[in-house]
Amino acid sequence: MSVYLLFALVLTLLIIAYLVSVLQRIQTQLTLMKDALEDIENGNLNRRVLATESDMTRQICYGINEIAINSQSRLIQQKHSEQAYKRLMASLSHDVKTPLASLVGYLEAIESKIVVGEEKDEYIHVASNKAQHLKHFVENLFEWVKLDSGEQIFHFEIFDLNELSRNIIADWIPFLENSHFEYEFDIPETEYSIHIDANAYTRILNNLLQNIITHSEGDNMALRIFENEQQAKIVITDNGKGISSDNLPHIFERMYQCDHSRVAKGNGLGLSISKELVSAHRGTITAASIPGSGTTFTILLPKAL
Amino acid sequence: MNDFVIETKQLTKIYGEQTAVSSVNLHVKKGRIYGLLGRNGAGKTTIMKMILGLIPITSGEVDVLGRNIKGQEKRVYPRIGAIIETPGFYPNLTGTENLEIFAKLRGTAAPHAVENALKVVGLPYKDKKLFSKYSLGMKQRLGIANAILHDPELLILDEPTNGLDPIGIAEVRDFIKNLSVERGKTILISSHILSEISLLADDIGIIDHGVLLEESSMGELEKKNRKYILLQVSDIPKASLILERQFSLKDYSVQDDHTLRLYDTALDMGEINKALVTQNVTVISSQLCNDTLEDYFKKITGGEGIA
Amino acid sequence: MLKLIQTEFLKLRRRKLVWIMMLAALIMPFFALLYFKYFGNVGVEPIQFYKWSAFGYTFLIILPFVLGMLCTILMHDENQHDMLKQLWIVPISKMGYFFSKFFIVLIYSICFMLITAVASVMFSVLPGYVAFEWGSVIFLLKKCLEIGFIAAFAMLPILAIAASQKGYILPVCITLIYSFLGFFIMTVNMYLHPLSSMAVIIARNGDIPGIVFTQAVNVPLAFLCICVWNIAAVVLANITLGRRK
Repeated sequence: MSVYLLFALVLTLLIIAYLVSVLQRIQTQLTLMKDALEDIENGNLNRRVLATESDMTRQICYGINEIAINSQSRLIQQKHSEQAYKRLMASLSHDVKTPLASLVGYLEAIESKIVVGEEKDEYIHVASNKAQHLKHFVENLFEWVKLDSGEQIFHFEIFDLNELSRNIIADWIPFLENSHFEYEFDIPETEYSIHIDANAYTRILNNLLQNIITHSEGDNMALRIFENEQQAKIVITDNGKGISSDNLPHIFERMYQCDHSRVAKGNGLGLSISKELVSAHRGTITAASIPGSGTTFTILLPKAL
Repeated sequence: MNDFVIETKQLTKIYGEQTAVSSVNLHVKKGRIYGLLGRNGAGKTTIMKMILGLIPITSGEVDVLGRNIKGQEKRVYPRIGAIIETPGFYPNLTGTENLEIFAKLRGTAAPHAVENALKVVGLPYKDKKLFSKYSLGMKQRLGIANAILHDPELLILDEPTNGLDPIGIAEVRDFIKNLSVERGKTILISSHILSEISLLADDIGIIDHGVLLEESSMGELEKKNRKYILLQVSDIPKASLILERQFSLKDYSVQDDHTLRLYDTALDMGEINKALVTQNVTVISSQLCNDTLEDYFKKITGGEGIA
Repeated sequence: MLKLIQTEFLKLRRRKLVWIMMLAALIMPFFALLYFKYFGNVGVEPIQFYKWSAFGYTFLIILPFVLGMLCTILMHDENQHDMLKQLWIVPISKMGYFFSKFFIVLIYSICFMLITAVASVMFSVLPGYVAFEWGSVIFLLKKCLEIGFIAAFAMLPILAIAASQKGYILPVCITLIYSFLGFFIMTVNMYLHPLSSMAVIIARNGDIPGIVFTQAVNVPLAFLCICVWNIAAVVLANITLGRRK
């Protein structure tokens, strides 16, 4: 009899000990949660409350973490766009200031009659080129800002993509020949109707072709179009120097220029604008490259929007 | 509250006669990647172990997450993820089982933490492969997965790319960068490879023979690293005209109202100065800046270089 | 603490050696079987059989040795694979870690003795040497549980030594010495060594044949001996685990 009593007593004590340990566990969890909440309130959004599968407070802990994670990612996004804006302003000041300074230099030289005759004409010519470059840049910039803020209005109409592409390319052939490029075009003869903004599409191709001529340093380019029921695939390749894998993921970012030397041929906006335009068509643009042997840009456009 | 996540004051470790770490003042700022650079045996691991309280400190102080870690282990450790040297795991268990042990002991910040952590480092979940059959690269990845299992604020990674192949190194590097950029984690990372640190770190500490030789931000170091000529002149438009006409120079930029940066360092500065002065442009100063990071490290480590 | 114990069990997965060592529980019952078969006895006193199968070398030599091995395996494994620093920064308490290992040893020890008990009953009843009767079986089970429980405590010093060493050779050697010392010291002074003290506690009523004491049975003194050794062991573990990183 007494053995059973003893047994019951031990069992009860064990149960009580267990319950006390559970209570203690919850208590420490609660203090940890309080700590973490204070910390989060003070702005440390990386703070987490840890819980195991068996903890009663699990759901609450996970809930707190999720709130912290979400506000953290929002905050970081905000910070990123701020940084991007700062970068934009910084490169703006460079991209405008440098050509402007030399433009003023040329004009001053002309005005103060340091140069005369033929030399003067040449000065005027250079100054005008620089002014053109500046104008071009500012236009691009405005277009990009418009796209970025979503103010650009698109006019989607049904066009024959093949016809449209041929027309655009026709305008490029003289430039390509002037820049000593061999070219190859493979565009289906059939009609392919697609919902598209003709201006935007022209801009996309122009930017990519311009990019090849100014940056690729190659002497051969090709444009091929493949079409099926769902989408059209436009592939533009060159045989130039390629883009290193470090740079490749960033080329569609605004103001990203692969050659860090400041030989300002482009303005770092062309590809970024192309990407914005393609995504306005719900398409995608990707780049693949083998450094030293060329780059391939692939655009996918859906047939129906 | 100060913004340092890790701060050490006069941290010193002496093993017997040998001073392994001497008077190190480390400052790891919140949300940044701090790269601890030094040759093997320079004292990087010892510093990290002391920060984590894994070995006793001979003298000095360590503050981690605003606290002295001693006696506060239960409050501080759950907020840190760490890999020290090569991570050890139970060889008789699979990767998933190993992580489940740590998840159970430590708790996690979200459901399915083990699965997510494995996915992030590119290891399969619920794989049958035992840890003893893992390659060095996989072991290292599992170590990283364990370090991020509980979504800690601070990561202390001792040579995390050891034993990885070049692709793996790039992957891990991107992943670490991402943790800092996209998720605001603070990371202390050590390496003996200069290029590794220069690609990752925001701040850098250079350690040699247990002494912290230099601590500065990567941006500052890079300024020292770019090759260019800094030219201060009285009249920027005139100067740029001369540069373009006489030296057919296009690779330059205007810094501010009086400063030009010329990126072609092979220029004859004497000629440029003369041309500018004869055409009434006052040259305030011209200086050649062409330290590479490597040169710089050689200089401060006393000629031996780092990697 | 509960979590630590749970994870200790998880860590034992696929440890073949640990399970193979369990088979040692069958050694003495099997020898008893052979012994009685050799003499061709039938209708032996159950206690006589159990003396051979469970109360003889099993708990004085085999069990201590197996437990000592287990202690070494449990401690050595994490040392060898450099796991401790990872565990400390979880963080887990050093004493919690030590006691969770001890808990495994305790459970293992009880299981070991239960297997011995079951095997003894089977090897004795099935060939027909011993007639099955509840009284002796329950007595056997009770004693085996006692042995399993107390043996784990008596082996705590070995666990502490295993915890303090990086290698495994020394702990294994000490296990051997420790077990045999316990066996031989019985004739000198039973209250010096935990294992001999354990024998005193088990055979306190003089109902186990074959164990002859040279001194008077003093159960509290035997408990005191185990306690003193255990406290020393815990202190040792505390100091060495605290120092070792």
